[in-house]
Amino acid sequence: MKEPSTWDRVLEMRIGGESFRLSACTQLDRCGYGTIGMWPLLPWHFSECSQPVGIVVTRSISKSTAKGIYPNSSTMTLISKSITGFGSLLLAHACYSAQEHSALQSFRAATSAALTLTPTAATSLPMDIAIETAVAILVILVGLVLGTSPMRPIQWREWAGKIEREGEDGFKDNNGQVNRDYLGNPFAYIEGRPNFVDIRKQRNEFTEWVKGQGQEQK
Amino acid sequence: MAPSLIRSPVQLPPAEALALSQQAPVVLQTSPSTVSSSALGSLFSATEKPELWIQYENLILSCLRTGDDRAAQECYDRLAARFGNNDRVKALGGLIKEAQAQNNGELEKVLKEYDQMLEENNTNLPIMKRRIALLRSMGRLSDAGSALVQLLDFSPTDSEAWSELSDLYFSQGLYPQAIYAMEEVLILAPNAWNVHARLGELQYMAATASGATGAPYQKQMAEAIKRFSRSIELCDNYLRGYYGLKLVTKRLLKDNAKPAKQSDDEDFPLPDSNTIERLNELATAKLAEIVRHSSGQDRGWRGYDAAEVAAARELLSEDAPSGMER
Repeated sequence: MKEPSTWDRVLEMRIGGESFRLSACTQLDRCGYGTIGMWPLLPWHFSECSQPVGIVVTRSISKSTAKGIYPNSSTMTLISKSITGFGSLLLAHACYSAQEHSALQSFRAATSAALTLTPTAATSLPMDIAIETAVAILVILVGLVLGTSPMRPIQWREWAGKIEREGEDGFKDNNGQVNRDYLGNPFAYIEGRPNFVDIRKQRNEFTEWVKGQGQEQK
Repeated sequence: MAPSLIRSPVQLPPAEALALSQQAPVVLQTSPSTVSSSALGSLFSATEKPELWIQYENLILSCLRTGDDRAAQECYDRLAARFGNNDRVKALGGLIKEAQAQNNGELEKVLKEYDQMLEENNTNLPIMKRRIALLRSMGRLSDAGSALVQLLDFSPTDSEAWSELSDLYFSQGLYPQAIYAMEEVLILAPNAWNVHARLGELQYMAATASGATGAPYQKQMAEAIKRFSRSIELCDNYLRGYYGLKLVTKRLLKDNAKPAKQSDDEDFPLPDSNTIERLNELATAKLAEIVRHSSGQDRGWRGYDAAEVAAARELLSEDAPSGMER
């Protein structure tokens, strides 16, 4: 498996006198390519580039560590949410401190100006507030990253294998809901042939099955 | 848990079809009974989602199967109210009539209706497909076959129709034709791992049906190995692919008493017995792993069909009568 069969979006751009071609398939999820709100920049999207411009970021977690990191999806969301909440609290505190600090500074400046008539320039924030802000943002980031659903497989065989091996279980988000665009094997209709269904035969088979069930119960 | 209503219910076992059709009252109650098709009306009435219409179609299929004609008719009415005289909706209406027909006369009447619709437009795909399915259901296989060939004449990229043709030929025992039609499907969907496995199965059946063990037998067995291997290559841990691979290699190892004749004109000769042996071992190991995990209901191994796992277990136990079952 090299690339999805239907390229229906092509973007041409020019960088530094060279033309690049970006193609993407809009039915990415059907092809098994995960997207997070942007086009995935995979190497073969730059087939016509003379030099590589894309960065491929994959996060792969082996099965055993995945069990360790993700014990359970619901506790996972709880941890992620509490970390994010804690980070937001820190950030709010830092903002409040900064505001208080500047209010104090301006008050001090006003009084000292009235007393001595020499303006003092003390405008920079204290170190601890700056550090608190940076730490708060990092904590929020960690919380949000922990809350993302696991990445989807990029390779066709892995993705197909996941459908066969895990079924619906493998395509649940953090809340335990099956993803809405999960279709099972997308080629199942070729063998199922829903438009050619022999409804009378199916009906007869079903009544036979019901009779069989009834006899089993007796 | 009942399977999703978004997915086609045709291949589901009866118990799951029953669970699906039992959802019908809830779905019919919770979704709006009329959805306006005009742009202005949609501002005021309930919003429509494309999934809703797929749900209705699938509900019609499973309700007709379980005999809940009233719910099926209700779904059909809603579809008809929204889409009017659409070909696809008409085909669903025909399907309901087919299911409710009591005798051959009524079926003939439905068939005549299809013919009339096709007279207006003889490339009406949904109706054409229903007509073929009805002909086949009535046992008129040759008529169904010629209609199918006619359909493929004007719509040669319809993989579903090629697959139906393959199945039709297969049911008549015409293996070469069935294989040819399946290969056409593969041209249209080269990454479909289940189609590769199906082609492998067809080739295995074609090879073993005649009972001969000449050059054509070996060629078809080699092709079958190739197809099953490709299906495994496209899909990790594919139970059906490994099952087929094991079946073919086991058979080849069994009748390996006579040396494999190598004819030079074949593009894919049978691999040597060493390779076959190793393929067999690989398939056995993989099948054992799948059966073990699946019967233990291990996390991440619950996607397999229970019947397929049972078949694999049977195949493995045939292999080891001394009782290696865990």
